[in-house]
Amino acid sequence: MRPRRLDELKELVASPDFRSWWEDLVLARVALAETEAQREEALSSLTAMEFRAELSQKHAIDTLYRAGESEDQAAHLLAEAETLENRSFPGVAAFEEQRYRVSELWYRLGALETQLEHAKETKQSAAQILTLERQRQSAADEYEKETARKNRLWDEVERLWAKSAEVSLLRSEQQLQARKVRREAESLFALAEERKKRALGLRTGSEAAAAAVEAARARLEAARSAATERFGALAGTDFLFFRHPQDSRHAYAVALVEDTEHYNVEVRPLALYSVEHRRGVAFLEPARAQAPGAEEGDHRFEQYFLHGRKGEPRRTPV
Amino acid sequence: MDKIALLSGSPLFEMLSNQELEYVAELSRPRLFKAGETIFEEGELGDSIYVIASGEVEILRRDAAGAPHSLAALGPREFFGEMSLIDKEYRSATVRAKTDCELLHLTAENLTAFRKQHRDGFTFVIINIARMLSARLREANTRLAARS
Repeated sequence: MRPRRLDELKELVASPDFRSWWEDLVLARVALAETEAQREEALSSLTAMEFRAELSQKHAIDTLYRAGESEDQAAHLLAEAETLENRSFPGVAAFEEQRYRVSELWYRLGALETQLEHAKETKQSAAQILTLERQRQSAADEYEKETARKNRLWDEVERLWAKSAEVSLLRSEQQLQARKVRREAESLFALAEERKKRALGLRTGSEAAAAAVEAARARLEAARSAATERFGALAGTDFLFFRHPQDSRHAYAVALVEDTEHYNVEVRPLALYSVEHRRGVAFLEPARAQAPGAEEGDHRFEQYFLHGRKGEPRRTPV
Repeated sequence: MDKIALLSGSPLFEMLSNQELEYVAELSRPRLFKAGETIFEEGELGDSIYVIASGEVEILRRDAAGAPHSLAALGPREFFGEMSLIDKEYRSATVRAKTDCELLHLTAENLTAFRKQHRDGFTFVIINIARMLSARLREANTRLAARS
């Protein structure tokens, strides 16, 4: 850190050489800010794409499980429909047997009715007619009873067939649903793969952006080092420092930033400040040529004005 | 913000030369407050002074029950915070932004830096504060006399 008088420092800051260095520094900073913004953008796009790929993959797996569930359900319904169909076969056989029996009874009843009419026409004895009437009635009762049984058997067969048809309808729907959901899962897997590929592309972009940030940082660092080589300054992040020529406890600082928040004064770019070596930039004074000479060593004022608070905090402010 | 124009119109910096005003301007820091935001609270530590660049602030003080009462409102070019700066006591009142406002902030340290460079200018700042306090004392005396 070279010593410089304030007027020398003002000349230096106004010189074309310094202004050209300052332009380089500003450009390097702008480049760093831009590349950092690009890297952040690339990183957020990458993270979002990786997350979306993962989400699609998970969604695809869940959908595939749903397709499997529909297939299981369809298989279950198919088995149920077949069971119902199988249960209907003995029913049909019993019905056929009963139908034959009812048909036999119908013929028998017809013969008895013919016999009874013939007996009445030929004026057979009342006892014979009564016997024939009883036989016809008994045959008619049996015919009616067996017909009802035949109908019940048929109803049962029809009930089984109807139930089987309903189950078959549901099975076919489940089968179709399974195919549909499986296709949906396949397209989701394809989407996840596509997103993974896009994330890979974004990763390459993000790595390139990170490399650009490193290059911009190196450029900024080189600009700072140039300030040491060209002007003999101690290069900080926000200030360049030059030793005070007469006072080893003080230095001059050239601001490289604009900052209204973090320092005791409103810091403006290329403004000159005087700093004391222990506190450094924690307390900046606008640089002035004349050093305070009078009353040096008398600190009564500072002791009161800066440290003069007396007593403990009041419990009840007044 | 034209700091020098503001400072030159403030009663706190009456009689200061242009050079002194420029130095104070360099030492001061602009601060922005939203309407309703508290700038400092009664009973807090504080040794800095504020000059109002734009907007209005309200001075509030709590009564014995702790309820705040508005004592005064200050506007552009007026200043506040001077009492703690001088007597090193705790803030005697709460100051709250009545509207969005822009203030210039000067700490005791910054005023000390001003004193190192401009003894007379600094003396005038202290005299101006004393004038303001004296005017308030006169006003209080008049009120007390009117009551008795």
